[in-house]
Amino acid sequence: MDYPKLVELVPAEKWGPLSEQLIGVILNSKNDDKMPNALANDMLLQMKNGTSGTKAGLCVLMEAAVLLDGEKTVGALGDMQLLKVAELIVQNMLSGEKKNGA
Amino acid sequence: MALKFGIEFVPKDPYWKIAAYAIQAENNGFSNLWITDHFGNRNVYVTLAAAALYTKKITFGTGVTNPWMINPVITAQSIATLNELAPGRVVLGMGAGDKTTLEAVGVEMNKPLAAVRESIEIFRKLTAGENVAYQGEIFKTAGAKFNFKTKNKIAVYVGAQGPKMLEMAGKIGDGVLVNASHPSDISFAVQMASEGMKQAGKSIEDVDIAAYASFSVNEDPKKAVKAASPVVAFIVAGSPTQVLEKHGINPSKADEIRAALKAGDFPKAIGAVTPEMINAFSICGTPDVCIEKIAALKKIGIGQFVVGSPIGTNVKQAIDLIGKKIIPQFKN
Repeated sequence: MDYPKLVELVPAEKWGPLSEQLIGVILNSKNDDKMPNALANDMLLQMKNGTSGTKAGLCVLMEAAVLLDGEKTVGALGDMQLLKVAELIVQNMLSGEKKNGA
Repeated sequence: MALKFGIEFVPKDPYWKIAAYAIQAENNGFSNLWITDHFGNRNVYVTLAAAALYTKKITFGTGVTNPWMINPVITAQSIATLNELAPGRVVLGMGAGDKTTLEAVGVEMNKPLAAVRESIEIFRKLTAGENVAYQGEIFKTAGAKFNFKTKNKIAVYVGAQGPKMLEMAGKIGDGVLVNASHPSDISFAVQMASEGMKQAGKSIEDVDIAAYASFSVNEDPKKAVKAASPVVAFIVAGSPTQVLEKHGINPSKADEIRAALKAGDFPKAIGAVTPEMINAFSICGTPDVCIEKIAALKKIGIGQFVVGSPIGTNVKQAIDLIGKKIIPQFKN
């Protein structure tokens, strides 16, 4: 999924609140073993530097959130009226399922 | 004087989750991070190292380790190395450990008072750069020395519950970690620790007494209780009869919980938790209720309040709630 392109669709005033939502999805997920180390370390670095609510920070968070809990991520995006972003993620998830023969 | 807030995490969660919570806690005004040490979970020092790398100012340490599972020279080495990752932000938390856990790995809990005292003495000598030839009752070294320098003095907190350990903690500790939340238990702990402080010519201002409490906050009090109940069930099951009676809890109720836990019937065990049990063994409720209960502990003499498991139904939201509504009430 092209996360930088998805993040371009998020209005700047929603970057901060969305980062909080996505961190919530990631921390509440039970799928810890789906988190790649490199992505976890990127996320922590963004959090430490206070840059989670930037375009770069959101790319990392969105990738991690989709990997750990795609459905909750889509739900969080829907709650924030980011419907186009949610729709693109759903399409990508569905095409991934088709490729995997589900 | 401001009350410090600490937070406890159990490394049953992976390093990145705990580090993320640690960053969030730091941003919400917590000053201390405590990581539990239990062989069944992930390693405490690796977890602390991750927290050290991704935080900027929070003080952190073992909450608590024990003298038996790891030789005190390695505990000292681990803490001193962590101090290089985050200079001046590291403390050692040392206590007697949990008998059941130690027995599970075939380690005998032999003379806990002497073991804790000796391990702290060895720790302090090694981190002071001494060549340590130590002839203790439990531990012996024949010229142990670090090949590196520890640049600053590292504070030692002693985990204590019983009267003798509390007294010793007041005497030798820079801090005391008291696993309790009820005012009567904290009052007893402060009294006993003060005895030890007197013997060492110290006052309560010299020792950071921390209430390490099971904690659950939620704007909805029912949700707070629901989150606290499983933790309280385990505390009740592990409490001796005299402790239960002191809090007006019928020991037969505790037997009921023990039997349910033993049978693996967690819903029954949790369902048997009463409001008296919640009140005796946790700080639980809305932010206002928690503020009132923490204020009562501060009045008794604690310098730090440690928010322990479960923290809340949703840990991230609970940390935000504590940072927004509770910590600001104790700034002065």
